[in-house]
Amino acid sequence: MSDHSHPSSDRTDDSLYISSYDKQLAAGNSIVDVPLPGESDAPDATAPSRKKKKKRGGLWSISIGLFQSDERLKIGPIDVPFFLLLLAITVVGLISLFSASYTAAYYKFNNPYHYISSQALYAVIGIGVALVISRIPYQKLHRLAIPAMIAAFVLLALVTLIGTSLNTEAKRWIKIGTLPTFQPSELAKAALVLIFSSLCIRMRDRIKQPKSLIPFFIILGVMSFFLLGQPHLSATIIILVTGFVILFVGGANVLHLTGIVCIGAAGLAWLVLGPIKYQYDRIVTWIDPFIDPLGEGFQMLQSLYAVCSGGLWGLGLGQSRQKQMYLPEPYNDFIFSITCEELGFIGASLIIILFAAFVIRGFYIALRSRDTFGTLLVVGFMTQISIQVFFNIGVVTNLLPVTGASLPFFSSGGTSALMLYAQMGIVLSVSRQMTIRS
Amino acid sequence: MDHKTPDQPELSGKPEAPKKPRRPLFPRLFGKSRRSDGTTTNSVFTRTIFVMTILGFVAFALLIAKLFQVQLVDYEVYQRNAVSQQTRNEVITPSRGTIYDVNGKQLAVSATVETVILNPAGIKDAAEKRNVSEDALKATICQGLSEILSLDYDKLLEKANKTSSQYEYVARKIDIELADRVRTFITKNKLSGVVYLITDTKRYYPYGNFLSHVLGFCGIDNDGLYGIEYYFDDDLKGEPGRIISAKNGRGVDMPFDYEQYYSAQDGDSIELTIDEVIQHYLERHLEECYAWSKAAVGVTGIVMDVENAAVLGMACKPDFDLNSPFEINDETLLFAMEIMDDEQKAAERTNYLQNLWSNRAVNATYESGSVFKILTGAMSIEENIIGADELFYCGGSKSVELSGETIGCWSTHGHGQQTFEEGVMQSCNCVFITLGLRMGPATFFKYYKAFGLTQKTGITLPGEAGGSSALYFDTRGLSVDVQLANAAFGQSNKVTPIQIITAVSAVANGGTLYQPRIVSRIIAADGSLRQDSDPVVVRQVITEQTSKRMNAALEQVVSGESGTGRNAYVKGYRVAGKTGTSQKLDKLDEEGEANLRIVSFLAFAPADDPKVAVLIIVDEPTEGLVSGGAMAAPVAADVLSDVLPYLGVEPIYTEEELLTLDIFTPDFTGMTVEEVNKRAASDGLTVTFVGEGDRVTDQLPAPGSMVPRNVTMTVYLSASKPDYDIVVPNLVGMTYSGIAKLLRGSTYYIRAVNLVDYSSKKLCVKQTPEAGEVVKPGTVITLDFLDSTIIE
Repeated sequence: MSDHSHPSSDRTDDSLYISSYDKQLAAGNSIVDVPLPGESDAPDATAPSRKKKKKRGGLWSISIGLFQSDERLKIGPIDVPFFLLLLAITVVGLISLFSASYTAAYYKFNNPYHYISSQALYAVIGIGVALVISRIPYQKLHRLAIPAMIAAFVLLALVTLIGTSLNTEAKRWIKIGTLPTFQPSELAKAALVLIFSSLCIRMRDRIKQPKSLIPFFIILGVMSFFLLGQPHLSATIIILVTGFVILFVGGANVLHLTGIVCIGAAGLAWLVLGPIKYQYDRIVTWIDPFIDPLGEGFQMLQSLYAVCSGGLWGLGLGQSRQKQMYLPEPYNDFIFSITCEELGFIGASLIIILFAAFVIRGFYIALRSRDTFGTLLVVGFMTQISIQVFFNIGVVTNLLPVTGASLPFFSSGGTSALMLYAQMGIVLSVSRQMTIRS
Repeated sequence: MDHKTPDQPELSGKPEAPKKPRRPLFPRLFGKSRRSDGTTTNSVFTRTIFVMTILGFVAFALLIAKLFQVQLVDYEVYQRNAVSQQTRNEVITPSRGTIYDVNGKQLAVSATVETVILNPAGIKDAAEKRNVSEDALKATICQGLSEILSLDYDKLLEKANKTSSQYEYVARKIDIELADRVRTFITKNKLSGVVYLITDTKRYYPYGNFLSHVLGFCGIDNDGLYGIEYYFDDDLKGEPGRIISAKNGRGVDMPFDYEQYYSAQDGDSIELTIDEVIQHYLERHLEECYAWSKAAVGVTGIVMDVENAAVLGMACKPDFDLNSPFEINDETLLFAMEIMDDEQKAAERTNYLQNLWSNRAVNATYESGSVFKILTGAMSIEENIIGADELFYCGGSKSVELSGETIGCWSTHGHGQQTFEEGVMQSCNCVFITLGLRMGPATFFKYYKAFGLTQKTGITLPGEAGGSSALYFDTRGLSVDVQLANAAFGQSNKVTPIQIITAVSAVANGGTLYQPRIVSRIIAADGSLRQDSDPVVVRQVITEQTSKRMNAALEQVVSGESGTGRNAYVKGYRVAGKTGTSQKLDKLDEEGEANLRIVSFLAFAPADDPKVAVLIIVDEPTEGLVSGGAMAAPVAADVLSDVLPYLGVEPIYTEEELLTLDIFTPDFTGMTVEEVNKRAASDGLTVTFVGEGDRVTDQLPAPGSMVPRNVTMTVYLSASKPDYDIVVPNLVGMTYSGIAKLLRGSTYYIRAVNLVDYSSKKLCVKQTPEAGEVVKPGTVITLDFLDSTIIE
């Protein structure tokens, strides 16, 4: 069966010409895209072969086939600095979560270890998952792009129908029986990176034409529609930014993108400030946190109390006062305000620098990627992390209005953590095929 | 143009390089410069670098910058709010200092009470802990508390439902007994942390209305709102202590090592210069005066130690109960308020209370009237502008030369030729107009200022009025001379009572102006002396000689045949004083006429060595003879007759006075005639005997009755005194001689309180027992006389 999934006629579809790669390397290009055979042809040429493959293999063959080695894919070691940074962030995140969630867990579940124990378990599993995924030659993910996207759409549609809300008014989770709750938006984010990266490669010759952007924007539009309906503002923003970044790096015309960004920004401004005043109170409390100290602005204000109590050196790890039932849900989106309070400006800055280093190392991998697909995947995932960190800490420090972005590797949440580690696994997979600068 | 641009040396040193086309900053960023082979790989690289710069550097730099701003620059407001919400700041109320009179009598004291607090935010936790529903626990709490404290259940439940609050008053300032019942309830139901008691203090005034205007009172938070309580609030209230403890978001205390305890510093006590006994005398006589004069505004009195300007007594009537200062006791007003709307009601109420609380001795100015002549007289003597044996002429009015205006004397007939002393005695306006004009405005104002009338006295009471440097308060635009003429007899310049009595005390004591004092010492809670207020000399205004001459002249006002202050006479004491009757120029009566009067009398005694001064002011009297000499002088005399013996000033009686001096009748029962004669001789009494026994069986008046020494007692020897009912006749309105005539042959004994000269034209104003009462023979009728011929 496995052999059937890799018919030699199809193999060229996803794989590379190593020789071509070597040639280009010799030519002095540090980053080299080795065009897929189909890419140079008209898109119609690959379409029939895809359909054929699906008939034969199905999902099962795809997933098994992912791990099949391909002699032409040179698998090197993972990028150690990136992995160490990932571990460091994981450890710091878990410590922060433990401290921030201690009181709340004690009050809520009479068990101070409630959040940390499950989160630590997810982290360990997550790192394992990341290492396993890193062994998949990422080029094979081209195949997963469309199924992942369809799955994301189905789940997003499902969440609007049978979704549950855990702690907020928004319906963002799917809960079936005793299974862990699942947040489809997390899958949607990952699927978006896959499909955009894949589409960019497939349409690379026509990407400059305005009409090529249509499928991208259909995908973005549908996802945004579902996410805004939940509502899930932060996920919408992340998806939009990630999508644009991939298109930008993938070679889309800057003028086209700028135009669309301008139209989008104007639309957003109209949405917020116009007659609908969507999320308008968030803007108001952002400008003046004291305006509704017990209502809309409560969490924001409590967060600022925590951040401002930290000072230069902080109150000391575990010494936060704001976590003593003042700041609601200190283990979620506002975890970093407790970290700021306990570790002060010095500690919080070091964590931000750690994130920066992590993101920069990620981009380094992207730059060294063997092909553009790898670059786009890594750029997409690292953009997500960077944007999420930016939005989360930006909200905590009142740089931005409240959006509801969680802090990657810090905030409590099982499925989102697993998804994150899986994505980091793909980054690690890309790192295995990095070119080494001579 | 500047030719020495930095480029020049380079241009001259090196040959000019050929101009290179300008390279764009990011040549391949926007994908315009495709490589020749058509690939866009470098574009991907550049664009990734661009994205990395933004997302890897700029975004995180922004975050750190913002974090820097929030944590290290603009943190204060938030940090303060955070600390205030994270800590429970329990205030330990300090005990408020006591206010004593000069002899250590407690006039205002603090008692410990307790306040019941509910923490609605803590109910949820408490309910969870004992496995009952929140509502059930609320019901238990509200039921229990409403029963113990007799409060409304629903209102209490309303408070309990404010679950975001951690601090709701249930009952404030309850006494210890009730607090103990609440404590038992808390312990029994394990409600500590949900319901709790805090110690508080409450102000009590043991004597109610006594000294109310001076003492003032406190609000519910023990803040002084009025009087000494207000003025010395900072000293009295002490420093509150605190217990600062950490709490979590639900108001539950955190482990106690967070706790900090600052003990409370009890307030200082204030010892007044007021003497409770003197104050009592003053208040009693003012009360009587207020009752019969029916003064529309009220009566005011000050007793001052002449030698150092310490206030010994100060009172206004009507007064109010310090334990319920907000209560309206005016029935008419209460009735009128029934039909008012809330706004009117509040305004009326405020107006009423403001008037009631106002200490007019300090807070209001008035036209001192003729009392001011004491000062004009003293200035004139000091300036030596009165010729030896100079005679002043009063023809009933005096024209002011330069402006041709004529100002009348109160006596329309005129006082004729008179010396300065006679002018003082008769309170002749013309004499003082002459003197005022003679010294001129500059000199007059110099002394006016020197007597402290252009400044507040600085007495330690709130809201002191007066101290205007303007002399003349009439706005009719009169000439300087006319103004001066009016000011010279006190008709236009408004001063406070405390200013005028302080200034006159300076005249009386030999010329030294002191700052009036009402607080003698401030004592710390541990008993140590914090502040001793020694007499403060302001300045020497006049010489001793001037003072002596003025005092002598003022004594004549009371003792002189035609003195306007005759009613201020006190047996055995040399009283000096001056009447004052003035027209209120700035307030019109209901008919729009300036007919409202303020009458006063300022007396000090003894005249040869003044010890104490008394000022009595009757503001807008509506009944009786409206004149200072008739209305205020007797009150001053009453006060002095009580205060002088209390202060240990020995009376020195004239022969005449000795005869009329009161004595308690001895008990002769069982004595022999000889023994009776011996005893009567030693007491200076005259006795007649009735019957022929050996021993005394009865006597009239009864033993221990107070009678003048000049009456003749009747002693019965083996005989019984007459015993039948008689009805007391009405004696009010008669002269002494008329009364003596009427009662000749009756069995009454007459005791005239303030009369020595039995041929005097003074009329009886009060008799005890009153007319119509049924009494037995031998009853002593006590009579008060008043010279009602005095008009001004």
